[in-house]
Amino acid sequence: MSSTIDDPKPHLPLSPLDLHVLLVLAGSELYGYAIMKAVEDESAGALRPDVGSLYRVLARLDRDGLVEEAGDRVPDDENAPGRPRRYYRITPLGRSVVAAEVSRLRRAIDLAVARELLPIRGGLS
Amino acid sequence: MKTSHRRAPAWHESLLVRSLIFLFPRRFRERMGTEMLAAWEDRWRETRCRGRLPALAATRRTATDLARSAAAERLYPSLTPSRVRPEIGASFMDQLFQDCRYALRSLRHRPGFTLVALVVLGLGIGANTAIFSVVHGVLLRPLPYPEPDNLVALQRFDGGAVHRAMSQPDLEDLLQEGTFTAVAGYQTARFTLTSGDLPELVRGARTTGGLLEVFGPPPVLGRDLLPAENASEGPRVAVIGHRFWQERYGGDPGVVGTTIELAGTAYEIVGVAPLGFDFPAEAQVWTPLYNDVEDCGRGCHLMRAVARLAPAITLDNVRARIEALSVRLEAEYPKSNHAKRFLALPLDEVLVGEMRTPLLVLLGAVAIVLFIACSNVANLLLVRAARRRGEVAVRAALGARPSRIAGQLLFESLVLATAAGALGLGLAQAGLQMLVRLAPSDLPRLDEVAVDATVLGFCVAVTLVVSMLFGLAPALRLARVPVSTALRQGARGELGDAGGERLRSLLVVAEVTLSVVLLLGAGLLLRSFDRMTRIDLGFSPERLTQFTIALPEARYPDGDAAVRFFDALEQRLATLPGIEAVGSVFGSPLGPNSIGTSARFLDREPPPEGQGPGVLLRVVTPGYLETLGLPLVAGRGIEAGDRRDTPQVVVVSRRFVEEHFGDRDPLGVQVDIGVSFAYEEEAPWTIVGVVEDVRSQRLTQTAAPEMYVPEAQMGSDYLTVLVRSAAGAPDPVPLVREEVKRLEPTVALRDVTTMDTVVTEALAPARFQLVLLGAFAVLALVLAAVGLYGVVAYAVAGRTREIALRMTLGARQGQVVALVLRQGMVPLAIGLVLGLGLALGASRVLSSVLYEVKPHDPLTFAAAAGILAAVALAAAAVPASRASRIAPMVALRQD
Repeated sequence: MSSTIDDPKPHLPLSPLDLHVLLVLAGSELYGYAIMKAVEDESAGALRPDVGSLYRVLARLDRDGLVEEAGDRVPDDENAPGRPRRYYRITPLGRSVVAAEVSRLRRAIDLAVARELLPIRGGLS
Repeated sequence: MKTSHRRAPAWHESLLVRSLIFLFPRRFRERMGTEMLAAWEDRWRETRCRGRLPALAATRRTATDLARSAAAERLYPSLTPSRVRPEIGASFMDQLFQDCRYALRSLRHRPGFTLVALVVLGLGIGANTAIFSVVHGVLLRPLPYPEPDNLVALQRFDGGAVHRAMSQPDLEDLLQEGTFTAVAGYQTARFTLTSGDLPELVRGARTTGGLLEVFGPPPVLGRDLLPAENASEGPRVAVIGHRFWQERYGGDPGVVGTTIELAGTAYEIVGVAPLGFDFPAEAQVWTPLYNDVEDCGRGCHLMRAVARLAPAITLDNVRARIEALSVRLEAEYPKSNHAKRFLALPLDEVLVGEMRTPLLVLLGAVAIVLFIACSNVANLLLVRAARRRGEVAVRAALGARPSRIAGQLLFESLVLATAAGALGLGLAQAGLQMLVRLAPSDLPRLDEVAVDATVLGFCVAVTLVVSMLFGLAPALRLARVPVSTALRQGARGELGDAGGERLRSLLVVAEVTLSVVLLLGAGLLLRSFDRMTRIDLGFSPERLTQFTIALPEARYPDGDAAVRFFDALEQRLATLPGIEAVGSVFGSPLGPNSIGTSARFLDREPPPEGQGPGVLLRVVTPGYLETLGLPLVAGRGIEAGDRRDTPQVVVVSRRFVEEHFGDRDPLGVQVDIGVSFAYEEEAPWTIVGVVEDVRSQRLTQTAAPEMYVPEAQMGSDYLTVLVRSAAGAPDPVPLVREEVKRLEPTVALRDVTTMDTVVTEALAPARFQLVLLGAFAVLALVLAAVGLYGVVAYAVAGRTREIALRMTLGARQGQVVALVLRQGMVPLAIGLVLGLGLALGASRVLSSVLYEVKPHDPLTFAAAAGILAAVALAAAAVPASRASRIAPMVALRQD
């Protein structure tokens, strides 16, 4: 049973938003709005998740065991005063899924470089 | 204050987001709702400090995303589905979705009922939407100009009637007075465009200048016509329409300064009108009026007028101000302005004119049809409700509250009405095309009629109201039934339901009442229309073809040339095969042109200025009276020998003689006709003959007094030529066209038509109303009959055992039929009485459109009541006769 649970394969491929949410949470534990901003930042504006979409993703990732709730606390941010926010963190399974997804992407990038779709110098530094 | 930039959103600012979060499934909402709201608030705070607009934009984005996500979450839940059924204590949104599924399933299970209800309601909503779009486009939508409420039509009242025509000096004084910021006089015109290979007609107008200033938008290129250009020797300049500019010049910006040739004369294009401007009557070319105030002054009313109210002037105080001006001008010019009072009327009302009442009547009628349709569906639902009592009782027994059950039933109605609304919208789209085709072509703004956002909103509103109308009563009834009773009855499949039966009968009473009103209205219009088609015009319109010729001024500079042209043309046409007679006239019967003037008898004291006897003047060629077939009453007609160098003669109509001479002989009396065309002479005219009357103005207006004067003594360069073909002869138009072209290649035939068509078009408004109201009445009648049938049939079904018992005890078939019929007769009789009473009051709104029929015409009342009673009886007879054929043993054994 446990081997199937920890197997990242059934979770692949990730949608771009899932991947970026997991990447963000791999950096630090964060709450909703902070995740939204970080995803927008790290995707260079390519992804701009809004409230509804983001929480559906969080709910699904939580259900699938890729992230988990990390308790409620008051963030240190002038835009989020007062009441505590629920923080999320990535699970070990989440980490291995991200790793699997990224290596899948790396193969894709290697192919793109080999077929001269990308300059060799580009990107993954 | 700095902190205010970081404030939390106020309650009302978060209302939208809060309610959208509410759309998520309950479980998701409970888990994530607070966090989602907090995330939005964080974003709001951050964007709000950049201003209101960024915050609004962000909220809009979030709102869109929430709505989409909520729907997605319901379809593909991202939380593990729980084993707990959400039925108990489910939230409002969950209930709504559940109700929706339930309603769809329930409607699918009864396809017969659903289909009938859909068709009945769809027809009702469709007819309402279609008629509303016409009313909206024609009556309600403001004119497409800036501040349309400030646009007025200027008219005058002469003590007897309101006239649209105004005189130029009066208009100048009206502008001077300061009530209006702009005033423009105009005449509609059709210009012959002679720049191209073939002469071509273009709609347009001649104006006193400043027309665009009145309407508001500036020209896209160049300038508007100037008042100074409106002088008898003014420059030949023209403004062209935006459409004309696009179509003819490909939108060339260099068009200003070039020339356009109208009837052989070059006009310099000085401007292009703004997009969409085509006043009056789809005009595309405007030129100055070239009015000579010396010649046509204060007493010469030749132009219509529009004006724009000055700011801060309302229609109420404009009346007092121009009244004062009227009085002052009357004192100053007692001859020309005697009893003359100016009027400023809202332009949109003037444009719509006489169609207002008929359109509103139609809207009322179609609303009645919808109400009847709703009653019918309510009736069907009540019958269904009786059958569903068992099902409802079970739900109630399992703990559903009455409000929940009623809500669910209402939701079913809403689903039904929404589907019917969609169907209705489709029907309205299709019906609208038909309506526009059927509508009288002079119905103003017909081209603006379309299913737009307002119409769509109307359709949605109607749909909602409709669903309440037919759904509320059955839902409430059903939800209130005590569980125990319902369970007992439902289990036995019993239908007895006295209260429901009463309600159904009441609905049928309402249906019958309203059907009577509609039937009566249609009946009155039918009788009126019938009278109209039998009107004796005074001449036979058969085989009469007509066309109008306007001679180009450049080639026909004087009266003599025009007279020579029409002489030659008539001679040539008369020799064509298949043509019996040819004659020409300025002001053909039922046509748009007529000259109103006042005759002065030289043997009598002149009446006070402006109060002379009103009379219509027609300029005719010698063949005209014969072509029309007007019998001579006394003296002679207009003859070929009446030329410019012979004494001036006039032939008058019988009505003219009756009004001004009574029994005295009019022949030889000299009159001043008060009008001149190309020739200046004002020598007296001698009455030489009397002819029969013609209904020349309007079909429904009795003949006016008329005078006929010879073209050879007037020199009109604009005449309508009438050609009477021999019986069985082919269409003369191709031959005629050929002849005209041979004689004068630069002339286009205008308004080629037949007199039959002219008469048909004169009947178009009446036909439009009749066809529509008639269709609505038939629809109402059928629906009422179906409703009555339903009530009786249902009653029969409920009394099968009783009837069977009576028959075993010896009741005859006839007695059974009577017993059942009585069930239907009571609502019928009450409905008839109420309907006739209501119609007595309502039919008065039709009086303005009825011709020679009184709104209380007893024959029509009797016929309407009779038809309804007969149809209703027939509808009730079907189930009655079925009841009489019940096999008693079978029926009794069933229990």
